[in-house]
Amino acid sequence: MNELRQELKKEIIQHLNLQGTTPESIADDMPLFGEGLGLDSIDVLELIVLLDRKYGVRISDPQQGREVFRNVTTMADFITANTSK
Amino acid sequence: MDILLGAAHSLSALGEGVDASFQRMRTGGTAITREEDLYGSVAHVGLISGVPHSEDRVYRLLDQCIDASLAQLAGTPDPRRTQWIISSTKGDIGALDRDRPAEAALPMLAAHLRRRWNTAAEPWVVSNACASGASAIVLGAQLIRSGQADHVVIAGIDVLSRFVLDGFRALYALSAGPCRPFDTGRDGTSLGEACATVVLTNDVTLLRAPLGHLLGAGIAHDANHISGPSRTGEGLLRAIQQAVRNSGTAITEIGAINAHATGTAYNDAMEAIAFERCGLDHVPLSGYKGWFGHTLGAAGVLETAIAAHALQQGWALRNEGHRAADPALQVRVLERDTPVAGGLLLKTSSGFGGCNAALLIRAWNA
Amino acid sequence: MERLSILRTARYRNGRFEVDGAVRATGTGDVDTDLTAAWATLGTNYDRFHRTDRLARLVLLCAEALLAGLPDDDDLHERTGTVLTGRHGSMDSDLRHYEALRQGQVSPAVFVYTLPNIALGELTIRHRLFGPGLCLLDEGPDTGRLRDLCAWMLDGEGMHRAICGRADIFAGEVSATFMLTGDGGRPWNNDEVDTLHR
Repeated sequence: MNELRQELKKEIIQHLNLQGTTPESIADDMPLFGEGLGLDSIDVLELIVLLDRKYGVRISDPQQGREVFRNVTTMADFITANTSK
Repeated sequence: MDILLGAAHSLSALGEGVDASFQRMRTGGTAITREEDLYGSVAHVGLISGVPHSEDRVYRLLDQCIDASLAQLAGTPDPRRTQWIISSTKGDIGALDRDRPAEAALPMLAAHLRRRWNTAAEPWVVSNACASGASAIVLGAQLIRSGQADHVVIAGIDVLSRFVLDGFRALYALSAGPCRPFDTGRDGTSLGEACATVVLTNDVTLLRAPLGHLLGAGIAHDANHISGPSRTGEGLLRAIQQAVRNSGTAITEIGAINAHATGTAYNDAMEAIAFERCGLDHVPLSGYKGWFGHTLGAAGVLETAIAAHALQQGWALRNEGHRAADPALQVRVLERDTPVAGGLLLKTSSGFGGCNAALLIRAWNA
Repeated sequence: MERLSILRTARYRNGRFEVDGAVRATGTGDVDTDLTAAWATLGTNYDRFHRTDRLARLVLLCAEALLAGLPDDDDLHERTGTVLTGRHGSMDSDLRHYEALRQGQVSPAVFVYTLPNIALGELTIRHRLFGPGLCLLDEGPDTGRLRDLCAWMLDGEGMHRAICGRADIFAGEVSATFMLTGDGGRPWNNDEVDTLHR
């Protein structure tokens, strides 16, 4: 599980082109939107794309996305819950 | 100085001609259709029919519309005193399919107009996203006011493309059915294609049937987010205030509003807030995108022409697509065509990039 | 038209970045590296820069230089007009989006930049500019028109300053010419403006 979270941090940085941000600087429960990492509404959409393309998990409603992408932990939990082994 | 609008023409899902479109709106419902296989998927769009698809379709639409507008004039405007403005977001985007990116550049449209009508000055091309059309009218008025022109021919154009459709889909900005501006269940916009043309002039003798007087105009920015409007309507508020300020009228005289009204959650909410902040919450309000979709670069010209014509006929047309009011929006959305006296129209447009434009038009003979 | 004078200029030609004629950066040939290097010379802290597209970065770069040191006050926010011109507009992002489309991998973040005026939008967001703005496409810089547009912003629209920028990215060529106009600078001179835009 920790591996997934670490991987997600790298993916987020790469996919959203967050230059100057390191995986270490993103705490598992740091808010991704607003105060924490400062992502915006377009970033939600890009993360939806990331989840779909890299992890095969689909989110059809961006509003749901806000909840899923609250922080890296919620993201990882969602992926795990929606991926069949 | 009195700046008049007239000689308008249009091609959209409603058919051809401004009055014909108005009659069609008075007697029927939406012209947005459900297309089963538009670039491989289902989409609700406003398509122009009767103009076959061809590589030069954008140019054919422009030619047809501009010809029809010029034919409405009571004479030939002096070319040396005539300026031309095109408003478009993507122009001939089909050129990318033909592997000719240079031809997709928007100045190509200007070059076409220059050659075909032998214009004295290079036509301007305004590209302010969805506020392009209204912005073009603002620029046109300025060209006349400053003495650089007596007449301005304005053409707005955008055609449907996979480029835009798939892009909007990726933004989750498309509605599941025909769009429902200001509706409590609104869930996005419907795209449309259109060409619309109008002539601005300070010479009343040039227009056989003027639509109205362009009394004031304003442009301002939200400075908030490139695709999300200001939650407090900062840009639209300022644009409206500027238009009122330079119109010589009072905001209380506005008899009808034709809004941008795309049907997305945020756009319509922003507009409602801006209108309320201006004290316009009781003024009859509607948007036209429920009829023919969001026609991007053509929208501002198309909607202004029809709304001005409607007002001149004494009507504020209903907000097609609206079924249930959103209690969060403190505005008076028209569910039925409503007779309007007084004849002062506020037309607003907003676009990606946070640009907002507002026009104040007094209907002819009002 | 006494207010139409030129206060500052910024110029970018394929990596070579000049502010008021003084060279701040020279190019290496890599577009992204050069834009980042030029931006770094301004010492600004605005992370969003790196997340926008190339045209927006070019515009943000030049505007940052023009507005450096000006008070961040109501006068700036409410009384600055903007004019952005160019020939190819958002073509750099258009081609990226088009390619993504062909591969079935549309990116929302790329698509939002496929409009010529988004770069202007980024500028207004960065500096909180609520004033009027216009994005125009044309084949080449037209000094007379630029002058008229600035005059409109300053006189007709009541602005105290007008940013007049031209930016273009196409077929490997990256260039921008920006002027800050308003009160108290050197009088507008057509020859100077022509030369600046070359």
